[in-house]
Amino acid sequence: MNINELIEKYYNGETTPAEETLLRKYFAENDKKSPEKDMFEFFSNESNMFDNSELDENELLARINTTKITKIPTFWKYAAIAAIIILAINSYLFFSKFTTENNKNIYSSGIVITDKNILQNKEIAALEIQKAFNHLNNSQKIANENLLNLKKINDVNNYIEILITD
Amino acid sequence: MKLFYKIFFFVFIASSAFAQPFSITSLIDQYSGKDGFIILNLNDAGIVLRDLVKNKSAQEATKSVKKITLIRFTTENLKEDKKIEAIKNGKNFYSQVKNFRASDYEELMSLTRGSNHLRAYFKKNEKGDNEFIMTITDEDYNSLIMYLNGTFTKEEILEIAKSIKLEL
Repeated sequence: MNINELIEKYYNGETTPAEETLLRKYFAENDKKSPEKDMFEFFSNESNMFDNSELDENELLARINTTKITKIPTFWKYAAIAAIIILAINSYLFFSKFTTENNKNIYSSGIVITDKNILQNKEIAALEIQKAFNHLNNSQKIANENLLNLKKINDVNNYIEILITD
Repeated sequence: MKLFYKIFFFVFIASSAFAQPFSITSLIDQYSGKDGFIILNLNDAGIVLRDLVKNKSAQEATKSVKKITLIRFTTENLKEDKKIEAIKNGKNFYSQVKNFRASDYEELMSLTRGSNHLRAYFKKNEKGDNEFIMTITDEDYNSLIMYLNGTFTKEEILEIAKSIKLEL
């Protein structure tokens, strides 16, 4: 059977697998351009690609069995969740503080005295410190007076006790 | 539920590790520049204190005070249009000052006279880096917190207080 008869048989769908292999081999070796050559070359390439990508079932099972599944310890899982929560809270606090900083310009009459502007505001600073220490001093005086009164009461009680026993 | 408890436990442990001791800086940040607030934050307290005390022992005591931080909220001198907004912040500061408790400090004094509450705390630290905190709350949300840092003793603080004369 010549090649043309074989091609015709192929188009009629009457070729055996062996005859198709023969056709593929013929067109692979033959340099003459023809639609059949393109077609058989295409089929050959496709079939080669499929053969390469196809994995043996046993090989796949072997791969699955040898693949190590690393388990993350439970402790680290919870530690990671805790870290995420803390990070989220801190981020919120940081950004809310940042927003507050930006809103500072809204206020105008508050006074802030630092080392930089103390010379211009020394009088205000002195007055504020005086007021604060004055509160402390007055409270200390009251506390001392109360202690003194307690002592006096205690002395009177002791005196009465002596009088009663005599 | 078990998972919740576990996560809560880790959050608690980690938060404890990051827990900050008392920081007046956060209050400064919060109220800096706001209406009704007078904030004083000096790293060299002597610059003001030296001129305020007259007697020699108090003069010596002022040398031991390094840092002074004072935050006071007052409704005095506030314009009516700013008063409402200012009082909102003042109210918040008032409750922060009123509820403030320095647990790891020695309580020197706690005195209540009418609406006026005063508390004073002292902490002796290593390397003589001692701390003194005083809080005052009064009516109309007037409140104050003062923080001192230095090598002073509690007697020296009381000596300064005794010596400072209020000249209005």
